[in-house]
Amino acid sequence: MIPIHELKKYEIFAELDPAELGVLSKIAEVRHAGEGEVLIQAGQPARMLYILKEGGLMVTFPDGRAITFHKPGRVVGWSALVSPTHYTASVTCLTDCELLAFPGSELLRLVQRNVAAGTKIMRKISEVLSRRLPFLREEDKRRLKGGR
Amino acid sequence: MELLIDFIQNTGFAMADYRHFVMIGVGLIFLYLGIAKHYEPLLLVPIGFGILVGNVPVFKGLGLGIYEKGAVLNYLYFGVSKGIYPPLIFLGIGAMTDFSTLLARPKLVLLGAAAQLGVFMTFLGALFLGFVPSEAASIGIIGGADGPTAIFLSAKLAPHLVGPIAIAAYSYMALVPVIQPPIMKLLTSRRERLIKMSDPREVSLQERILFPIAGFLLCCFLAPAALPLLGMLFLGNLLKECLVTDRLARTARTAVVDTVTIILGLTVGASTQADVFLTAKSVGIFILGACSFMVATAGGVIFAKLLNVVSQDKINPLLGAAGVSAVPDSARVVQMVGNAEDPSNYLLMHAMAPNVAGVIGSAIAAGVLWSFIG
Amino acid sequence: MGGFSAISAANGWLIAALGISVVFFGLLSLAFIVSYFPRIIAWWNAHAKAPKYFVPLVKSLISRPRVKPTSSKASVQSVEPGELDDAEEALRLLTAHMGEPFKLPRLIEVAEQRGLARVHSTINGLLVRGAMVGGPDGLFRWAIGSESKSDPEGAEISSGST
Repeated sequence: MIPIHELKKYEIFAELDPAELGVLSKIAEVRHAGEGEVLIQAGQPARMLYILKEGGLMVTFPDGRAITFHKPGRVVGWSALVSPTHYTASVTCLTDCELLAFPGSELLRLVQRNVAAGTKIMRKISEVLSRRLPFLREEDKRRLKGGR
Repeated sequence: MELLIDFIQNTGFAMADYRHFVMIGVGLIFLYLGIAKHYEPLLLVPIGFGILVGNVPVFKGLGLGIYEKGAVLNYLYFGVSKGIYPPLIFLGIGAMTDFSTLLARPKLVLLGAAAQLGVFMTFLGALFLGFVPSEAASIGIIGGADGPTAIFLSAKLAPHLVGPIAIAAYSYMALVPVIQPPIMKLLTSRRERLIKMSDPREVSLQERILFPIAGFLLCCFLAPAALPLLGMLFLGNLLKECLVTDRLARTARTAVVDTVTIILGLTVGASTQADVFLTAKSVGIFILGACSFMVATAGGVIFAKLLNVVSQDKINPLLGAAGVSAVPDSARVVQMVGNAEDPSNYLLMHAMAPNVAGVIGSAIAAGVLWSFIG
Repeated sequence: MGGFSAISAANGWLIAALGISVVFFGLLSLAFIVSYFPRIIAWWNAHAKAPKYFVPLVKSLISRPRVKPTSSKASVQSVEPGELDDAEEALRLLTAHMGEPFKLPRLIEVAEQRGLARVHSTINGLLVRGAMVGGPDGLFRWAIGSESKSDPEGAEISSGST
């Protein structure tokens, strides 16, 4: 079980109260991945959402463009929670990484079971998604229009 | 030598005909969809394996088949045929559902009601195609997009169709992300899809405790035939919300629902034997099932648009599609379609209100059909 | 029997009309009652002795979880600065052929084919160092001038999405 104070550090969970964080801490798992490991493969069923604790990640889109993450708290695998149920980009570890992994089905169950916590998480997600780079917004529109 | 011949004649290989292999193929497809494609795996894997179990040819009279008295499978199937398992699943569903969004914005409940149009239109369609009323009602309830409700009603009214109806219901529930979006986009304008909903108000604990009690009394006084389903749904919810029975609520939404799901899926799958499934009726059931989902989606969306005409507080009409009570898949579809227009528009939480209202609505619809036709 | 006559014979129209009406009436009544919940509860709290039951119960839910030590940290095996300089030179040669801006995954693929060791962590090192930067278009470039300690996610405003 992940300590609650650790979950509180991440933007996506910043507004949750201790009871809600307590529920989340039970479903979170620590995941280690090695350099070069493909953490997420585009096209695969979106089952897990990951938060980067340590290391570097590269998110690769189908057309070959990419973005990289190096800061703790970055989230990959949003598709497990919000969009069509398959990953739309691949994520590769640039270094050995430590991540927090959340099963999408458990997060959705939390959202279904606890509306207050679910609202806070979804609001954070929408804030984050609205701050994205233009080309990522175009990617969203393209893939969401394309559906599955 | 005679012994050997006898033995060979009693093997499945000797007793099988092409229909067994067709059904085994159907079972394997379900397993593939559940395991490889992750389409509702918690349901499709037990059902798929159950189809394999039910379509292995066995020597009649040895008490092996699901329809043979005294067989293990027959005992397990008792819970399906007598309508025991679906209410137990509803107990778990109640214990894992938060009705807060429904309590915060009660008018969204009506979208759950509108989506039940799919049930009754399909009922009429089934009568039109020549199904008898009990069969038509069982087929119509597929439009409620609720597996336990569909199994419950068909076990009461048309037990010989439990297998194909359950399979149609669960298959279309898994296909909700494919069926709904085109209808939602067809019936709404871009401007409507961009409507943003205000945050729901805070709902107090007292309201969340009062709701299952008041909801149960109101709905079951109106439709007493819905008592087994709604009684368990609201009990599960009360166990969750009252805080003093957290252990029971946790058991209901984990151990109970998982155990019953395994046995229900296995026995429903095993009951789907070739002579029932490979018929023209099954084709009719599948066609009507697809139509029921489409009509339900359209009904919910159109009603939401009508509500916007009379109401000052606009709601995003996409929420109407969430009245199809495939929880939480249709709510996710609403989120997805809304997101496509505006990534900052998060509709998931709002869509949960009509989604859970649809569960109540489909149970009432089942109760009403059972009282008219049973 | 089928067709409209079958529907009429089974009272289908009446059943469907009554059925949808009952469902609507039921849920409408439920919505109506639910809309009065805040008033009912406010009245109860004002006029009845409100049980102090709920507050301690809610508080008891907020329990302190046992702090379990997390598993050992990932060893972020960084590349030595000297090795990084050599690797940078090699990668610059590759991108001279590919052109700038370049696609990072393609660079990694080509570098691996050429036998460059630990390509991923090398690229990570160069990004952290600021020698290589990602643009808002998802393409990558070499930083102009000397290595600067710029934000390796400088082109990225927030988390991406997959």
